[in-house]
Amino acid sequence: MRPYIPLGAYLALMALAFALPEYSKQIASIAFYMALGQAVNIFVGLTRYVNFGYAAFLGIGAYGLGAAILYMPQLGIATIPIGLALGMGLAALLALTVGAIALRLRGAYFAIATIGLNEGIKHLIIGANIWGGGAGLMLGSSMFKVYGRDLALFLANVGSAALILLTGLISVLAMYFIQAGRAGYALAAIRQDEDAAKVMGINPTRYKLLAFVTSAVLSGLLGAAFFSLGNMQVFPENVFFIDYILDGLAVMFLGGAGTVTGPIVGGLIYYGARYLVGIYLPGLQSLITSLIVFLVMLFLPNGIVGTLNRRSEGLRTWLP
Amino acid sequence: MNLLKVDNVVKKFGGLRAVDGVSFELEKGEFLAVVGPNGSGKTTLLNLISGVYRPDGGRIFFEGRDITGLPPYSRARLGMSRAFQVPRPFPELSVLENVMVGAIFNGGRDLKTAREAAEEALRYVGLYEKRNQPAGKLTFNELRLLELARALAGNPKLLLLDEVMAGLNPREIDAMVQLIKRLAEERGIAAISLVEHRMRAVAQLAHRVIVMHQGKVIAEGPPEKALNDPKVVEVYLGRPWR
Repeated sequence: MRPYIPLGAYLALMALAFALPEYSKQIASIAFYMALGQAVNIFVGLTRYVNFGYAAFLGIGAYGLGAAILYMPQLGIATIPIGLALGMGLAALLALTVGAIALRLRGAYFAIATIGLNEGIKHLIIGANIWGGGAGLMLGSSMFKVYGRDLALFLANVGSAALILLTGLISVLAMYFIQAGRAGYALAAIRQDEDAAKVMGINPTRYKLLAFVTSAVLSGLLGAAFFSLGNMQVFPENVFFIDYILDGLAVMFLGGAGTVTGPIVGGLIYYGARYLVGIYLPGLQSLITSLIVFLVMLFLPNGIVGTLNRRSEGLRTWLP
Repeated sequence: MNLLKVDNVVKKFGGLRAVDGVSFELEKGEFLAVVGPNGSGKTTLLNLISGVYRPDGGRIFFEGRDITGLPPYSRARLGMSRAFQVPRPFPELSVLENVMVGAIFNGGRDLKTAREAAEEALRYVGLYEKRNQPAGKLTFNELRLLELARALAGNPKLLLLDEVMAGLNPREIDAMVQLIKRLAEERGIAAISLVEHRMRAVAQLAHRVIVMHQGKVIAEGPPEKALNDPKVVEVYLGRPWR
């Protein structure tokens, strides 16, 4: 597999965000769906387990950066790397804790076990009044004060778009390295027959956990880039929003679960479909997009890229 | 020191004692056939050895080490490979990749050595020409050979073969039996093979036979002696007619 086309796509979009800062918000919105599908794909595509608590990782990542900006203004611009590290670290910690327990369960049982995760964290933050509780974190004035007005706006527009695209790009690399090594064989085996994999010397929990934590960390980065940096605010109701896992799954299945290029294609189509429905049939986005996903599952179960790259060796190599 | 020691193991399913106090030992390079009618506890015994089930009583030792509490993947890494009765390939992977999985994780090796071990195992069972096909496209007989290659590639000390002859035609059975015998002779790999169908053809090639009935061992010894034991004849054919 040669990951140059997907990597190139993210780099090109990144260049576009810098070259046309007035369109950076639209680029960020498209990129959000791509990176979301890409991060979801690392876990769901590689293991075929579904994690309904997924949005919790987006949220926890957003809170990490938000808390750093709001509570550590004395650090100046260093709040960004420290906050991102904090968000990703918290996401990793949460994923390790939940995964080490829940990933011992199979398929549907795991999916059910994760449903409570997102709501649980949200209500913990609201109920215990952590990090602003139900009122959320308003980062605008703090960002203006710490970074200066121009830099703050640049970060919220171009910086956020670039960081979202970087998340997608790192996800492609993560997928590439996982699949190229021992873990790729282990996950392929687990995906197709977990019991057979077990008697062949594979510890399924270990490899599922690897995919789960990687996916969670990248989701944390995505949440920080999109909500904290891009929107300059973190509301529990917005970030711990269950629809994001449905969006992520839709993007992934549109493009092709387990493929590397799939989420880029899927994200583009998914964003386009929601945008058009928003103009012509406002309010019906979720209805129409779920219909699209339904039709894709029915007629194109391998997704667009997944169907294409089954056609020939060349496509499999260049459009992984 | 013997390779495997099964000491008085018991496995209950509800009120049923599927395996009821079975003990035996296995030497390095020995080919043991476990014979018994359907429901006699053979498969449960194999599952206890490979670690799919934990026994309700008794202990299992591998190379002198107590492995009773180890999960299947740890046992595999100690040198136990299993071929399933119904072949369970990873259908989307190629034949070579399927065998590589066995080599990578059983032997704890890097991808390059694993690939070489896998190619060698495929040559040994005669599937090398099909190495780049998806495993899902193989015939039933070829899937059996794939199972065997996958088990072999991990460089095992003990092969656990679950009815690997079932569903094969007489010619294929012959070839399979010869293959297993060659493994024991050329590589010193011990094998435990479950036999239900075509009992004589297969069991006569084993070094030793254990006959199971209702969870217990009712006869043990060289093939001719064990298979002609009056108790065994009765289990298979009913009481003598006279």
